[in-house]
Amino acid sequence: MVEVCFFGRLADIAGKHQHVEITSDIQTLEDLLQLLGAQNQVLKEAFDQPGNFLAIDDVMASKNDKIINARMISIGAPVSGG
Amino acid sequence: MTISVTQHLFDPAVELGNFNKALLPSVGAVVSFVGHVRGQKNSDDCLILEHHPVMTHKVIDGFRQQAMSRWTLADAMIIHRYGVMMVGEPIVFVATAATHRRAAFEAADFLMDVLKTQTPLWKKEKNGGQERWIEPTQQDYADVQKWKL
Repeated sequence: MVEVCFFGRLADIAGKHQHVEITSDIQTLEDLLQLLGAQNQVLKEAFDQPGNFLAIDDVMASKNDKIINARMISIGAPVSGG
Repeated sequence: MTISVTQHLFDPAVELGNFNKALLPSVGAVVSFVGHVRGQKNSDDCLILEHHPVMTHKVIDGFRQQAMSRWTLADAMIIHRYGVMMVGEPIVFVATAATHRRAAFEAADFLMDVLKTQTPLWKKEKNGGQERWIEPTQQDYADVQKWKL
């Protein structure tokens, strides 16, 4: 199981966090996004937008990064501070 | 206090005073910027900023280090709030100190651009009872491009 935390607009859609079982076919962040998107069409549409924030165990990541042994995945809408 | 990610209200004048006190007279230039919540006085409107519990501080620290070395700064200080902020309250404070003004100006500009577009913070505006998420504009993204990160 991996903890998936959502931030910004994505947390409004998916909730603040979920625990997701990582099966052998979920290798990358892209695989995880597809799995979550298949369960929620609004979330899928949000994932398809550019500029989303992705991190694995508190390190910035990209969709192609492996999530094997990850403890926590962070997924957020485009960031906006200042 | 070089970096602070806090939900507490702060006084930018006090922070700038402390920053100056620690550095003057050994530097020739100090630049500071304060971003405030804009809106109508005495309204219930507010800004809600969400942060990442670990990464927000870490990412800001990385950008501060970049600024310190790229512009050979004597120091740089960043305060960024999260949580609920009312109209008129400060959101962000950036101060940079260098030998000469150009370095201090550019470093402060760089820090604000990366805070706006590259730092794990999510901004929601509550205006007239309506809430909406605010995402960076094309201009914000264009601004950060000039630093060639």
